[in-house]
Amino acid sequence: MYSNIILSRRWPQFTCICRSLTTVEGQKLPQSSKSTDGISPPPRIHRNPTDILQALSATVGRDPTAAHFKYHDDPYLIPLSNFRKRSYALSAEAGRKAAAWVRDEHAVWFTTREWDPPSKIKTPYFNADPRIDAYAPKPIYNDESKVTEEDLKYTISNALLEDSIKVFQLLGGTDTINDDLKLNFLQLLCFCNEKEPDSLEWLEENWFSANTRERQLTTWKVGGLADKIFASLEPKTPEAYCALILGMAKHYQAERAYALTQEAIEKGIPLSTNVFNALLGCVGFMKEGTALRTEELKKLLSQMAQLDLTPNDKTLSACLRSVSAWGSGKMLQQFALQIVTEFRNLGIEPGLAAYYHLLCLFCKERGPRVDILSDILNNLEKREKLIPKEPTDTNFFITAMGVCNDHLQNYKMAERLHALLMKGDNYKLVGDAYKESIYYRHLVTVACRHAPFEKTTEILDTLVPNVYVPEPSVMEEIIKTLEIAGAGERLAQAWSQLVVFGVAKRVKLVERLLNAMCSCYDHQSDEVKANMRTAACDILKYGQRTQEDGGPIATDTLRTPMPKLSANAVTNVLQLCSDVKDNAAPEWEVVFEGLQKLRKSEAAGVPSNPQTLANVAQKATAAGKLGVAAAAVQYLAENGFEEAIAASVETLAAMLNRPREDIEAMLQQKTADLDQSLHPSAFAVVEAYNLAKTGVGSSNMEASNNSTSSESDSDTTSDDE
Amino acid sequence: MNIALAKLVQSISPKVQLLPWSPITSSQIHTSLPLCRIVSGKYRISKKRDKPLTYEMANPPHYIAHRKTWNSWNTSNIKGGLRRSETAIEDEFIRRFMSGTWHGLVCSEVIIKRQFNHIRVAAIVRRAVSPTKMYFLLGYSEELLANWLQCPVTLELQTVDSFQDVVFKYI
Amino acid sequence: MLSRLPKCKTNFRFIVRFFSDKSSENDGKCSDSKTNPKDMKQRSSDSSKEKIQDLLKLMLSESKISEKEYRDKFVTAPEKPPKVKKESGVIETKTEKIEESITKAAGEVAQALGGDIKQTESELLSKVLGKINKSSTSLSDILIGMKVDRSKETDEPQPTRGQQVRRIVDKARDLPTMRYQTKNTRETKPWSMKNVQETISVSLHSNDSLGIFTSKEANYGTQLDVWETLQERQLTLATTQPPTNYFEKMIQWTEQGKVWKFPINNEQGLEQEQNVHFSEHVFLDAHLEGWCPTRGPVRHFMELVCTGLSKNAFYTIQEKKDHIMWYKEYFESKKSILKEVGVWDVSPKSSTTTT
Repeated sequence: MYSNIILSRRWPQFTCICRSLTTVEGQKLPQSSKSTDGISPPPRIHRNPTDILQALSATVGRDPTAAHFKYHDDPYLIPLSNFRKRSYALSAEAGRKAAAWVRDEHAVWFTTREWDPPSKIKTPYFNADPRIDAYAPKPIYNDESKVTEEDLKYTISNALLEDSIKVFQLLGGTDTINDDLKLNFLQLLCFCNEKEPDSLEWLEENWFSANTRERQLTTWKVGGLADKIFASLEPKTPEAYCALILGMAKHYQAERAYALTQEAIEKGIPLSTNVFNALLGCVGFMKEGTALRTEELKKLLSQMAQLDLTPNDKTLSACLRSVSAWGSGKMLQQFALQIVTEFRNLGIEPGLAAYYHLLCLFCKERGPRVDILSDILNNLEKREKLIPKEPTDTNFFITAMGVCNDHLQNYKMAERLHALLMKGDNYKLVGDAYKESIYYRHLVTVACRHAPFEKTTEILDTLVPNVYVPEPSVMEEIIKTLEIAGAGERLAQAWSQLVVFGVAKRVKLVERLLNAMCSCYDHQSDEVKANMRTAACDILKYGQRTQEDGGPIATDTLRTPMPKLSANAVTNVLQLCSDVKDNAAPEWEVVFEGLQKLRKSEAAGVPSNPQTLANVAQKATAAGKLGVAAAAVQYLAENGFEEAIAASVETLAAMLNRPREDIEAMLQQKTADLDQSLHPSAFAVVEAYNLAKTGVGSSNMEASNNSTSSESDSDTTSDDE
Repeated sequence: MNIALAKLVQSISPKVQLLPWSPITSSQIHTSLPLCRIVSGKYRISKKRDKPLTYEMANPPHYIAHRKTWNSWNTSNIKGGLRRSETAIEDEFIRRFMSGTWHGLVCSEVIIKRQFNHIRVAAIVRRAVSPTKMYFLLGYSEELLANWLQCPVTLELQTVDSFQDVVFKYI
Repeated sequence: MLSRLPKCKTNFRFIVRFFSDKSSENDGKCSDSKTNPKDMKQRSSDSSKEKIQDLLKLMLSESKISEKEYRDKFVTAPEKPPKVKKESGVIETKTEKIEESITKAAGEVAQALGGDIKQTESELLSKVLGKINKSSTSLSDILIGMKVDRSKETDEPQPTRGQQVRRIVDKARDLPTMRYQTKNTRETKPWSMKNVQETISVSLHSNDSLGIFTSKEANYGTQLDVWETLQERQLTLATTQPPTNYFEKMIQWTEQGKVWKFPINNEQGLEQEQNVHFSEHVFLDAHLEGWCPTRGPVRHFMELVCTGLSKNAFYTIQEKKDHIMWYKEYFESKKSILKEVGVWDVSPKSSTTTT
């Protein structure tokens, strides 16, 4: 078989030739576009695994008609209110967390195959090849676990603070670990200040956790592990000094940071730009009074210049952060502008964080109206891409929109700002859910107050409800705008929105809406009027529905009962609903129900505009709904409104189709005689008339009514004196 | 091939064929293939004709790719496909996991689609639990399956009001 | 007392008018609504044109209701301290004047426009008065507050049930709104103030600088790796959002290493083999040189091992080498036996015979 041994002896040479040949043939693709035969294939562009995906995703864009991608695309699972958006996303994440917990606690279940032979079952089996680390169970460190320095490295690089402290202790503390590792550990400790940083894994939690504004408080743990490790480091390297100063300054332990800096400078230890950036951030803790602080800041900057340290964009934002935190005033503003110019001369343009601080400084709530934003926007619009540099950058858009809304009251500016946010992938700068909602609150408010109505509706149509669900206060603003514009159709829709957004139980809002509907009602087309009537009917029914049954409509929003509508609101509903000529229209039932509600005192208070009820009675009579008319008049009489007399006369006149004089004459007769001859409804009106006139109802009147009417009687007499 | 084999057996020993040819009485070497058009994958008609069938159940297997599609989509079962047995077992595992985790909620077949190492699991569920709980189960099953199978898993669910909504016919 | 009444009554009437004008929770009665532009608007819906004109006339002329009549209607009108009366009167006449002139102007405009005069006018009024009401919230609130106090003091006249209820409700309602409004005035006041103010434009480009730094070579001093990565991490934490479409989700998975990298490559995860030339996998005989006998059964066996290994796609090159080396050690350890049997040093002669 191997008779030609000669060849096999020469294997090395042969393989060598093979190897060189294949390389010459060009396994690799052409690197340059030049070739001799005139054909020039373009050079290969190396692409990252995500490049194509990014290109594809850029083509998708945002679809305002669909819910966010994280929600399941199913009518039952799409959230429409703020509460649901939050709870759905967090529930899904909670499920993930539960699964991750199972995986970590019972890692063995995931790495064994029952059917493997006993010799093989010991080695963990992973289904994926190549193995995927993201699905590997996370190590759990406790007192029994055997740890190595590798574990410490792993925990430090993944910013697992508590685990790394545990491992550090298990490894034997400060004495046994080498200095490099100790230094890394020190950096982690200084950065986190012994507080576990947020996990990168749980996006929704980050998104929905309303990060309260960073308080400038001294939180540095004096004598903590960081201090101990620093003490144990010998010799103390510049890195160690920098790390400790950074940590102290980051957590506002200003005095010790300053002292340590002085010490380092005296010892000739090279510091870094970062250290000075951090120190600039806590100048306010060192000195009191604007003038002293300004001096101190300047001193620090010149110290930096002396030490030959180049400032960067973070230096600028640190300076401005300090300045903006010191208050306001011409002097500070001037100083801030000087700083900006200084850095521009160095070729450093302010970042978003710096602009945020400038906005805070210039646009004070009570100060004069300062338009610095347009200049900032001019600058930012020129930039091709907004690259986030520091976490504070995410404050810019919300603050700027706030300035557009409260300070400048300029919709044009808000529009520009919004366009900037929507450009490219700038949207990531919006921050978290909390900031996003405030941003949109400002945007919608400014659009409602200062934009032309078409623009407002456009904005509302794109944003609501999938991108943003208006809070009650914003909803009120929207209703106001719709009222002024007289958009009846939209007002009718607004009711269903209220229900969907889960704010339909805010009586104040509902009453506002009813008022708005009433004031716009007259100028609408018949179709719109019908819609508005339906909405009004539904408002009245909604309260009852909530009281009676939890119903299929989302029991969780209806858990608390609907508070009583005020009598004014009910009157408004009546006014809207009674505007039908048709005898058989379903609205009449609602009107009757509403009147019953009023009579049974199920509505809070009494109507401020009883004339409306008198009108309702007239309309009801005209439509042939005598019972309704009688109920309305009776209500008026029972509550002692002066309108009752006129209304009952009018209603009777319409009912019996006789002139007023006849009616008045008739009313002078005894009630008992009328009882036989009149229609029950008409008789009820007569009774109401008597009640209103004399305060004494007929025999079947309730005692309570008697008492109130006597009160009204005495009232009039006392007034006559 | 099995038919051929059966015929071969017949031709060798004609005496075996005592009864007239029928798939059940004569198949000495029993294979399921001769039965496939007649029995397998079909549902028996109930006495009262009230057995509910979904669309998927109502169509017998020979309608696959005509009126209905496969319940598992993968490249393992094409010629030269890898991991045939593993895929089959994993699919069965996913189905059981789904019907167990979404207990009494799944009212259709669980469809499993594989693309690269991404598994998409589709099903129709009843709206018997609140959306919040559904989201919890979604996150839970996605993550747990992902960890078991060591690849990303996505659930693609649709909801219906009741099981009645997926009933295609009664037999 | 009585002599003072007429004066205070007229004042009070104004106030009442003013209230009923605002969302009208007070004792607005039917006669009152005649003097009231907002109610007029409502009325215009169901009443005739002439009524409007009547109203306008009424607006412009003095109120014709007799005092007696007036008293009948405004039962709650109590006595009040002169101080309050004076103040509220001043404010009231002012607003009243504004509204009067507005109504008049609206009527004129509507007349000029022609067409449906009634509607035009009411539209105009609804818009304008809406604004006025908004801007004068704080003012009316003060008045409402006063009213509440008074009604508490002088509760002598016995009101009807409706009036009682209304009063209680008003009280209950006004108090929270008062609180609410006082909170609000802080916000709204500068707002209205600012409306008048001019906007000061500030440019970021001033020529004035501190003159501390001069641009030199970049020197950022001591760098801290872990610190930098942690800062980076915090930044990603602040700017990461849940994926907004399928592709973004794929990107996220790719970055987490969960999904195979694109373009799909069969050799993914074998990165360490990327730099190894295929010939090293295929031609393994080179590893036999130096220890293996050049002929005989051992050589034959080892060559078969090499052929097998060269076809194995699952071993890395190192594993293949280790495999061969294991045989090497095995044969070395058994060398003495092999020599004894005579299969280690096979002479070339015997080899020629075999071939």
